[in-house]
Amino acid sequence: MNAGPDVERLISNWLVEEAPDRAPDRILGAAAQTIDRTKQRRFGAAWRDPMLISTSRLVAAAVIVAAAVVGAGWIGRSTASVGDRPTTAPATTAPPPSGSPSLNPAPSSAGSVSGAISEGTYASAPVQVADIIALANADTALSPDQRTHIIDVLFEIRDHTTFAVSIELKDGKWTEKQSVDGAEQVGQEATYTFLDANTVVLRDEAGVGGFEVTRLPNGFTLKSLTPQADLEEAFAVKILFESGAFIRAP
Amino acid sequence: MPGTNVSTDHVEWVAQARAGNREAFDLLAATVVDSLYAVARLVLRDADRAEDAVQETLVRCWRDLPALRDVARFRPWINRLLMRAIADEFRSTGRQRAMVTLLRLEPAVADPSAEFATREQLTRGFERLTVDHRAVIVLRLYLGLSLEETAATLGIPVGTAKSRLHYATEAMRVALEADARPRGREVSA
Repeated sequence: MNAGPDVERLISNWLVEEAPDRAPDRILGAAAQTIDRTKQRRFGAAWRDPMLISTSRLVAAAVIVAAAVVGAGWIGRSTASVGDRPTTAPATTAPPPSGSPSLNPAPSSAGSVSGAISEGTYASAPVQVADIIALANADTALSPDQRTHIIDVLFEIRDHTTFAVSIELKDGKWTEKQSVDGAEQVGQEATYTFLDANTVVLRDEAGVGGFEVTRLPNGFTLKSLTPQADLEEAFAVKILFESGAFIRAP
Repeated sequence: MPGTNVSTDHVEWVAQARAGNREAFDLLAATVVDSLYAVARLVLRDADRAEDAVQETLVRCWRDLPALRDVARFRPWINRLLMRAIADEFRSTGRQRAMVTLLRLEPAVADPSAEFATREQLTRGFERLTVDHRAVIVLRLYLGLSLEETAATLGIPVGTAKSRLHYATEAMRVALEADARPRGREVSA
């Protein structure tokens, strides 16, 4: 028997013969049953169903977000200027009929609360991937598998050099982007509302979450208000949002 | 050989599923399940455990999909999830199974069909490999991934993937040669 390509070709042909053509149908059904009970991880703010959030501030915020959306819809159809605080909009008041579409239907979240962060793009300083990996390795609470999962699946940064996060606040939309070696990709998108100057509430189809915001002269820092589901999630939120300041991009 | 890429149409499903669209995810899962199962079945050599690994992969895929930055790289990403689920599955019951395999006392039978005999030899040689070595073999020689892609899928350095592939193919070659020789009794390790 010759070594090298001959053996590899033998093995390759054998694997093709051995491989099943189809998976049993029950796999999809069984997986679907578990997925029905599984929420997607949202690292932006560790999204949760509002009723599951322990922080009372966020529970209240969920109500206010809903009110803000209703109010913004009313305001958007009226002639009120965009950015007025929508919470005064009476829920029982029927919106005036209008045949023309609103130019700015989204709630102007940033300007609605005194002291809230203004719209713009805010970026964290790039960090070395090696430092993130070192942090993961130094976290004794994480198992080796969890460390591998964080690096290879959640962050996908193995064999890369730099990692950075930016947050764009615009027209009521929060867009978190991650940059690996300068290549930028959108991470999470959500609507946002400032509950007060120090609390931002995010919402998407998956649920609601939020951050405590500490203002800086030209930016802010974040601290998640939502309890994380597990250690991997906690590590990811720490790296993404709690490791440093987000400074307004020029 | 199964495809290793997700088509342009499927990229849209990935994007929608990442945003939380369950219907898009179900379509996506139906598209990839056959390939995932084939790989799991080959590495684990057990239908039930392969099913469990694929189910776990799909659940983790749904859970962690929002973390996927580049939807075009869905395939290598889910392959990483699969290999991790396979490793977990192997760890949970693999040692017992491996021991059972090692203890099989099957004399080398002079088969009338040389092709059939070769398949039997390959089967025995493959089952003697560790799951790490099987994984490299399947990713490289079944899925046709490059060494770099294989290494990335397994989360190991390229050099390690290369050495594992070399070791595994060499072990298979030795198994083929050894099984081809007349012998009395197979000895467990």
